[in-house]
Amino acid sequence: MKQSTSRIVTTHVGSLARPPALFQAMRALDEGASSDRAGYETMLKREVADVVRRQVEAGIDVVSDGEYSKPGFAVYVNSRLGGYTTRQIPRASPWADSREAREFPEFYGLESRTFAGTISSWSNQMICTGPVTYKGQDLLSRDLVNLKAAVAAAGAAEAFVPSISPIDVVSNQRNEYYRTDDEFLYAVADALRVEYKAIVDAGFVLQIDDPRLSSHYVSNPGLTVKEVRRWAASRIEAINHALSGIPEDRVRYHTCYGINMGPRVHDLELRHVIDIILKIKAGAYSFEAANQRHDHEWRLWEDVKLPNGKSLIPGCITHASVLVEHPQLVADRILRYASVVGRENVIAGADCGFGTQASSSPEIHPTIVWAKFRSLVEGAKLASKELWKRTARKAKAKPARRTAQRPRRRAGRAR
Amino acid sequence: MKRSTERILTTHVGSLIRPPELLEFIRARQAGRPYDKPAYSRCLKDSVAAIVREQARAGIDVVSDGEFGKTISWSQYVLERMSGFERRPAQIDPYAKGADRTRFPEFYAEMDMADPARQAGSFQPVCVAPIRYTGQAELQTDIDNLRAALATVKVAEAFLPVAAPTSVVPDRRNEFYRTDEECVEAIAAAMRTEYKMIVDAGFVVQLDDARAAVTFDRMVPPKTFRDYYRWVNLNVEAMNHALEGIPEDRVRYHVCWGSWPGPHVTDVPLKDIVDLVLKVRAGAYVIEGANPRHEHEWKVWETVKLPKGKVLIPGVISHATNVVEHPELVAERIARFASVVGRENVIAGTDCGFAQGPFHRRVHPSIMWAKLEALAEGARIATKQLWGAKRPAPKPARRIARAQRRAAKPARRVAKPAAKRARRGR
Repeated sequence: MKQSTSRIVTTHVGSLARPPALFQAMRALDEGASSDRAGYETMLKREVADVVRRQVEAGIDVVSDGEYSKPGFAVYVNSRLGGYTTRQIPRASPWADSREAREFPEFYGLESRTFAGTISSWSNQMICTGPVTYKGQDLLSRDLVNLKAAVAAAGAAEAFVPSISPIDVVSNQRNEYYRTDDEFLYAVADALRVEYKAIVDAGFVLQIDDPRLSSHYVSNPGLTVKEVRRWAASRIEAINHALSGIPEDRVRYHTCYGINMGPRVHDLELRHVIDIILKIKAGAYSFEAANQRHDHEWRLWEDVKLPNGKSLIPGCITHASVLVEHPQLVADRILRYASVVGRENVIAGADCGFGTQASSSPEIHPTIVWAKFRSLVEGAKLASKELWKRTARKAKAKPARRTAQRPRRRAGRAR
Repeated sequence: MKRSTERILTTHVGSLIRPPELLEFIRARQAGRPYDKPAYSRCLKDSVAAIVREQARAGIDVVSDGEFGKTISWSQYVLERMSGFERRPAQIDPYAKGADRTRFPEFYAEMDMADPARQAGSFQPVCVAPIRYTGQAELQTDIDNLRAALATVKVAEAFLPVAAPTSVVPDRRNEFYRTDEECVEAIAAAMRTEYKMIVDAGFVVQLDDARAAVTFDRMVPPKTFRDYYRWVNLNVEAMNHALEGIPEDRVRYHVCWGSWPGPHVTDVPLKDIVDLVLKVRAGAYVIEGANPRHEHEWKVWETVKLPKGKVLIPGVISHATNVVEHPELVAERIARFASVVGRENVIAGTDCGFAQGPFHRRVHPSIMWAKLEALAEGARIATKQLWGAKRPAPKPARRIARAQRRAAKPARRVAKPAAKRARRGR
């Protein structure tokens, strides 16, 4: 995995707003209004090439395919897993009856209406009625082929592919086949392992998307932090099971709080689960850090030791504000993290995806997302300049032998 | 003006979301429909009393009347308090320009579509006769309502936000005065009545001036930064004429970059205009500091010296996102400002108002209150960090270093006891 060895590397969380024509073509196929699959596939390949090229041009080092082929970061898996029957149910707000909705009923009452823009106002309730299998090989290999071609054409430094966590999958589904929840979870983990392995075998970095780990607390008002911790500690074993044999260095783990455009006063604090998250066999951890609720959590790393060789990917830009982060603010955030975990262990990222659902109304207008990316890159440059300043001077004075093994925590303190 | 001598005081920018019952009257008034005037007066008085009580409950020290007495927006309300203007239907929407809009046309098209006020059409105010202040009666009502509201609560102080001359009826056209400069001077001379009445009534007056900073986005290009700077300077001089003889200590000056939810990439940097901001004869400067575009600007105060005796009221919570600021983030922001200007010179504030006009609201009311509570909680945490346990105050020269050291410590360990102690102390 590309690390910030000589400068701060940039990336994001994966999903980007689909171009309107691609969204329309996908929707038409989905609703049966069109049968031109070949035309859609051609368009998809072209758009993936385009979005990868644009990321490279914007200066993003570790790019994705924007999750362009997926109807949503989580529901995409419905067509890739076998062993289910489906039932159409109305799409409900994911925050219904959460701690948040209980405290802000009027706000969340309004918010639930905004789901009309997603690919369908209905969703498939997946009911597991037989052994879970992975049947998405073709869809996945199409995505990987498209991305590989796009990366080669654009000359991207590295690419990652987001894939959903088994914890999230089972939370969205019903099990009527396996005797216990654990059996079901591990069956899903085994199936997803096929996808995880294929992504890594194709030479990409795998990103496990796991919003559920952090949002379980807010969605379950009856649970205490202690109970959520116990739940999380047992659940992450399934992720590690799915990852067994896959080199940590090829895996990054992303958790967040779901795309909640609300007040979020009940978000689980990172300090409550960080020890559990660090047990996940990944080389890097991506989390929210650029919004009003989690910006202060960099201090956590004054007390928590990041294991050797691992990187943090804190969000330095956010989907939670239309305002474009000033590059200096991005740099300040990077410097804060560098001051507590060392510059070489920080990759500048985003809070969450910018197009988590294929939708006609993404979280933030795409033109603003690209402006945010430019700020991210510019901020990383400012931070790199600050963090490698001394090295550069030293390199001039002496041979650069020692710079490779600078002790941790030597990186310029942010304050 | 009350200062953070023993603890970090809290305030906000002034406008708060109006209750529905008050809006019913204002809607009728704006549409020219008949309405029950005595009932409106009673509703207004009760609404101001309620909003002041709510601020006190949320832990706000320096409160306002929520700008409930203004029946048009924060800047256009003056049309009802000043002679000399007429409103004409606008050929071109005066708001629909600026560098940010040029850069993000698709986004702004969508934003405008979603704004009912923008759909209703626009008008241009034109100065066609001598400008005189005529709003004494309305202003007196605002003063009386706020005074009556304060009688029932315990707060540190109250302020009334009004428009700075620069921002009085922005996008106006002048067809009466020989030059635009003369027109600005006439506005300043008229507004002086408003400023003076508020201070004479015992309140702090706050001059709201979004237009000083926003005009950069509207003016440059095609004009240059120098042109813009000269224009702001001219307006600051007019403002200072309006403030002549009014004690600085009773005046706050609010600078923001416009509260609309846009990308704001073309906002003029604070460092480029901070000398003009400080030139305004005010005792406190209320400036955005809690949003992704301006949060980094606390560092401006590392190189620019805040003049002795003046107070900085940075935004530590923002109208620009629904996400409620974590109290520890609020405390961290306060500590940053305290580290550069000294704890006694910081009052914790907001980026901008939450309701720029009666029918505007930047966030849901329940979120506005959650944010104001987070502001108060964050100020309590910061107070605990900056003053520590009850101990004699350190020597002035050492305060900054001490604040910096404290700011570097993690906040969460002290969060709970600080909150309890501060609440007991209130």
